[in-house]
Amino acid sequence: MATQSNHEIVPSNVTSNAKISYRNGNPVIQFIIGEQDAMLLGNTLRFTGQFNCLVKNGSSSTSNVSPLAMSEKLGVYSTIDTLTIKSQKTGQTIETIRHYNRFLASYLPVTSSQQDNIGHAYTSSLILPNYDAQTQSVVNIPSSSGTANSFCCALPCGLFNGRNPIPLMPEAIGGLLIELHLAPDSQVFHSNTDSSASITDSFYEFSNISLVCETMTPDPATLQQMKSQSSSTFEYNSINTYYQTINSANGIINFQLGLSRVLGVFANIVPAAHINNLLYDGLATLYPTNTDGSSAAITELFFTRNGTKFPLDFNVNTLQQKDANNPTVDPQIVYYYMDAIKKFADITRTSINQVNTRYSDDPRFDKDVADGGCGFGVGVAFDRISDQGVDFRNVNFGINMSLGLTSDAPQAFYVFCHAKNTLVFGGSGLQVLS
Amino acid sequence: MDSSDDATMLQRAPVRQEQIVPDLLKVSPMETSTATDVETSITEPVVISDNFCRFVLLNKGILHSHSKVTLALTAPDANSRFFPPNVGVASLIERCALKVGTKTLQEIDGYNFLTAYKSMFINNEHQIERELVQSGRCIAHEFRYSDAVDTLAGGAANDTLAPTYGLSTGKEYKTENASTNVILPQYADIKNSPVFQIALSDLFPMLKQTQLPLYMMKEQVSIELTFAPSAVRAQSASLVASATYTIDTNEVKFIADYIYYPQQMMDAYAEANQQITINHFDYRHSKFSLTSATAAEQQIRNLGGAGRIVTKVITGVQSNATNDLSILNQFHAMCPETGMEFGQLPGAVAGQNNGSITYNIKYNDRFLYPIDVSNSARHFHNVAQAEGVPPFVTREEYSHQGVALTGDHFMGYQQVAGTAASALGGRGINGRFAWLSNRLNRNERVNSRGLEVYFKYDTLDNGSAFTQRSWIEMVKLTQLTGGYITTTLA
Repeated sequence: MATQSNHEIVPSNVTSNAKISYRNGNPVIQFIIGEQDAMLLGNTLRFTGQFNCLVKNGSSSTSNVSPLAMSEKLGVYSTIDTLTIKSQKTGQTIETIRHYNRFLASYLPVTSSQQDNIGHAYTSSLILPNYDAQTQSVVNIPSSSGTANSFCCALPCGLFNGRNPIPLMPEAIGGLLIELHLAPDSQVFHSNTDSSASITDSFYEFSNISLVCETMTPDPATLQQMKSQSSSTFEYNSINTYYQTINSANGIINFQLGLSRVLGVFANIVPAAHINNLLYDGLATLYPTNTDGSSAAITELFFTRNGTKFPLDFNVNTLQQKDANNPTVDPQIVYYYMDAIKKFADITRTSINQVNTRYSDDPRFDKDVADGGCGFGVGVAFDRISDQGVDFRNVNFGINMSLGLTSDAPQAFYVFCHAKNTLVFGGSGLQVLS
Repeated sequence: MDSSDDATMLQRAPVRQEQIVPDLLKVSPMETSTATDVETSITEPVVISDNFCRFVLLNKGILHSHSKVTLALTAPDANSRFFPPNVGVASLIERCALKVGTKTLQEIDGYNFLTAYKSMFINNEHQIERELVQSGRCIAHEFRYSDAVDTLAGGAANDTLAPTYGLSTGKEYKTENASTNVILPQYADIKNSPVFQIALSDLFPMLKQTQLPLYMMKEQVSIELTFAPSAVRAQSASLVASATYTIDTNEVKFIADYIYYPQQMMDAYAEANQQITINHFDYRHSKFSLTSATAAEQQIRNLGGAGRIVTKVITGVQSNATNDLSILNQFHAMCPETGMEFGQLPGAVAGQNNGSITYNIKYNDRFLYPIDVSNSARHFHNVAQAEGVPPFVTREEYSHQGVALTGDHFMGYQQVAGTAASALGGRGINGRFAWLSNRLNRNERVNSRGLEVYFKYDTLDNGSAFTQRSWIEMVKLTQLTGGYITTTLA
């Protein structure tokens, strides 16, 4: 009979004082789940530890004094810029998600409700969907009294979210090497006022961190059978990341995805000037904005494959085409965006609503939006029927938009592509078929 | 018992493919177009007092697992009183037992305390929309927007600043006598004599997967409820004195749904299933007295379970001092703290910090976790892993970390007042949901030494006595053969 066991893995690059921060020279946290005759249960894997926000060395951020703030919809996820999973044995990259925090800035609000975020997401990942409550309770409260924010968060990605146990045997994947690339402090934090002068030295710090997970050891007969296979395959989904900017009233995104089974593509947006800028929330998922914060509303949108409209063979003509002052984001944009992240009919819990998907023309951008902050994005699902995806190996994917971007305000588009992969392992090593 | 038997303990055996009639007992959609007839009977208890009641079921049809037991209290006076919002009317039930003939299929002691744990896994939306009406439970949350100031620079049109959240009952918070308070709807106020109900499958979790084929049973089937002492039955609103709560015996009823299929099909099912085996779980309750001083030292407590297949351990520590002049009464689970209160600047009190619970379980000479668990968020994760669903409670409620819980009141009691130093062990909800639950995932039978829990609670400094309640979830095997039940622990 198969048995399971719990593991707690400390970073292989742990520092002498057990504290890790981007600012003090530890931009990467590395965990090794060694090769063993067992299988990793990906959905049990958690990154755990304690999290502290400091205005400068030795000084905690304190209530009503410091303007330090962070993304309320991401919590501790704000700090992870890239998630990379490799085979420990061969070093082959199995999955890597760049701009991981921005990916989650779309994924989490679409798939969790406000009650989820006040409740279990707050406890596990320090998300609290109001900017002020999150600041008071997470950024400010870790105090000089010694209290720090405990967290224990999942690392959502295709490999770990999959239902199949991940074989760690030397004949299969051969152990895993998990790397968390930390985000710069200036991307994680922002000022909740119009000045960042007092927080220029702010930084975050992790302590007592580890990776916890469960593995399953098959019974000897099954194990022997698995080990004796000359080759085997493992199916999983992955997120591939692309980046592009637009600075025109005719916004065009065009990529060669190089993937054979693409399930959907979605993108979130932030003014490029806000990235790594303590004055603004660089992790906000805003609608396109002009320099003064006024919305550059999308009036027309369509998606292309190899130069032809696909999968929608029509233009999404939005409400703003007839009434430029209408503050409601067109429901079609919201629907297709959410559907690209998760099949719309299966979304039973979400934070996306009319409060956080409206054009607010706010000169403070996303700093004062309720219900977790702005939840805008564009996207489309390609295959909701067979769930096998669409071939984009040799053809380009495109997003075409008409929008009211009339000022010189480059908009950063973070494009995430959800695709199926097959991992082939055997005597000749590992191969990822995307 | 051989290993193949062990393998079947943990999950219900699949329906045999060759079976020509559908599995009538399985609680799930059935692949049949057969007409179903449901007969509802309102059954009075055969024995009823203020301490105990017994229902006897009719041996007919198949008992629907969502049959209900209704319960109510007699309003002591015209003052507002309420059931603890995390337990609801289940606060009345100290022990429940499902008996067939002389055999006990399932018996849960400390049912009202166990319900405080189980209720955490009902999502907040469901609680406020349905459970508040059905069982009186209503743990849900809403942001407390500050209408005193405009958002920093966003102006009046952008007033979205919410420094805190609080309990939500569907009613607005109202400021009276210098405090802001939210109350329960009138239909949930005991002064209006509400009648609430509990589903049979909530009383007896074994019925979540299986329905009882009463028509195939030749022995008397009965449900026994032992009522809790008056002191923990309900809560008085603030400024209302304690009262003696008596069960309204006229409202204690069993609303039974008996399911019928065509006679031919039921006969065929009985003929094809001369022996029915049901694998299910049973819960064994144990209590342990603690003081803050003893809890601060590492304790090793034996929970039993020797020779059994134990799949889960549930634990919580209650302050004995709390009573009906609070929000939750004793149906809480303390987490350690030293009195950090909302609004205090970090470090305002020297040495002030949140304590931690250090916890591990040893069985079969090995610990469940390689390193003792002390991170509160990791405890939370372990609970979610044990149940397969995350607890729908907040960080302040679970671990007393953070300061986002409102200083406003619920039924007159300050929600944030969960601090140890406050009267009666704290009347609020801050740090009062620190239940620990751990899945024993090694699929091993516990050896003769039993389960040993290693634990330490930093800074339980209430000064009063505490009780640690634990339940172990064990695999049980029940067989119905020729109309007679046998049941044994696996």
